[in-house]
Amino acid sequence: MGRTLAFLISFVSLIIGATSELQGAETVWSGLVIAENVAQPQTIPPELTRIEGSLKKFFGYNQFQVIGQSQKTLKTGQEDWLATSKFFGLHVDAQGESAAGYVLNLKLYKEKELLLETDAKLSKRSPLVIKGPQIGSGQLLLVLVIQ
Amino acid sequence: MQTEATLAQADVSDLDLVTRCQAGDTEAFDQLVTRYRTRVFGMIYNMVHSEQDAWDLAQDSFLKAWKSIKRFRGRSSFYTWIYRIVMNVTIDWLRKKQVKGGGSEFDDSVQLKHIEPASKTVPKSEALPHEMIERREIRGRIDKAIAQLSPEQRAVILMKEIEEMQYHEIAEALGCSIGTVMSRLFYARKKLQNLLRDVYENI
Amino acid sequence: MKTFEEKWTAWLDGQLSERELAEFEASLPDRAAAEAEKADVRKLGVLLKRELGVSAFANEEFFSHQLRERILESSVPSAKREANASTWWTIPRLLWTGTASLAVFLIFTIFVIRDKNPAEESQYLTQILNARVDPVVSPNATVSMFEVKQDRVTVLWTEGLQSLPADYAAK
Repeated sequence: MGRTLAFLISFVSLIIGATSELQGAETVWSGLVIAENVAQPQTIPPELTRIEGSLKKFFGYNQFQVIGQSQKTLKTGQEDWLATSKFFGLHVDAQGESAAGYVLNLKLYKEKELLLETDAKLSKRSPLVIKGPQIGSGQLLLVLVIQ
Repeated sequence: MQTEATLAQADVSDLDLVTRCQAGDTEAFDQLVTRYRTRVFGMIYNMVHSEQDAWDLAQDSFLKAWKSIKRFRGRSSFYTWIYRIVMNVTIDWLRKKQVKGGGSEFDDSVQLKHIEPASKTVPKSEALPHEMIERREIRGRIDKAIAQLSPEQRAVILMKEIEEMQYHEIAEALGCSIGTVMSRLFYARKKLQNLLRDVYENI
Repeated sequence: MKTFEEKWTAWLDGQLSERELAEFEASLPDRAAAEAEKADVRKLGVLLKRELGVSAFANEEFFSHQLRERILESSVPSAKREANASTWWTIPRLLWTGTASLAVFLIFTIFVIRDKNPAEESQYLTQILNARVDPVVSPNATVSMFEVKQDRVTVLWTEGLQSLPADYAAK
């Protein structure tokens, strides 16, 4: 029984080793972004390049700056993480995979206050943008992208 | 003992609400939660020093209380009963998180693990008015001192000094004897006296 | 019979009976030092009560709301059997079965499902399942959802959140 068990464990380990090469885990980028209109806008951050057009058209701003970000590689799909700036925290709680993408629970905190909570299915090639509060003359946006 | 119940609801005793809960009335349980949530959260927060964890543990405690409400026999107050659940949940959690040292009551090697946010950016501390800085420092000293107590010592000192519970209530909440409560209080106070003497001496 | 620690604690807290008090105080080698320590412990208690007695509990209503939802979820009948029932599934059998199932699953995953990564080239747009704004913090806030199909961007649009000064844009 001992030898058979050892064989089975070795077999499974080999498969796990092979599997990890064949199937990469997904990485989710979460960003806290300040959108505003300025005379000389800076280059858009690389994470937002793909949706630059949509952001500008939809929100009407010409500059987008990242004030807080986090990158999390999802291995089990059950991880949780935090993207923070000085005053804001975006808590992301991955609650599993489905055919449509990753089920995420998102909470936006302003210091200790919970401003907004949402549950979403985040799909690849389909970024999620959440409009947060107005900040000065700009806007806080939360952006989540599967990279 | 302060309660957050509205004036109309204040007339309804905890026991009446528990009886309704035992019949499946979730609204009655909601009222009990409203009465005790701040104290439960505060108690747990003082034990674990993390708002997010305190929130989760408080939720877990109340959920456990709901699931076991039919087992409440009324031999103690609801308040003591819920604290028993809170303490079990919190102390279990602390035991799993702590790096244990020796088994003695003066356990200097016991530390709370600090959970860092996953983000690359971490909020920097802001300049605050002088007195707020001082209060934060004092609070920091107290938190650090309490973190050096074992989970059970933390529980007794907080239940005695903050909640002003009687020995027998604390014993019931922790599932131990009154003598054990008194003994733990003795060592917890000794330790805190050593660590915080310069802080409380000016009171 | 109480230990010294128990008597000391009870003395500090004024919990000794008249007879016990007289006995204990008579046994103290240095009454003045003991009284000084008693005063110390009182100050410690005052300090702890002052600093730890008030905890900021943000979002109490949301706490209750979240708890209500968890209670509702937990009341859905579970498929668990009674814990006390006897079972054929001993621990070694469970280990064997678990390991064998894992091996079968991994083989299946590699050779059959490998190409079907859940989020790979998904035809799905990101979906918002639900969204809530704290009514206490933002009583007039509303939430709606838009999809920008061209770039496959899903937008959760909020209105009525409290505006904040520019300082809040700090990194």
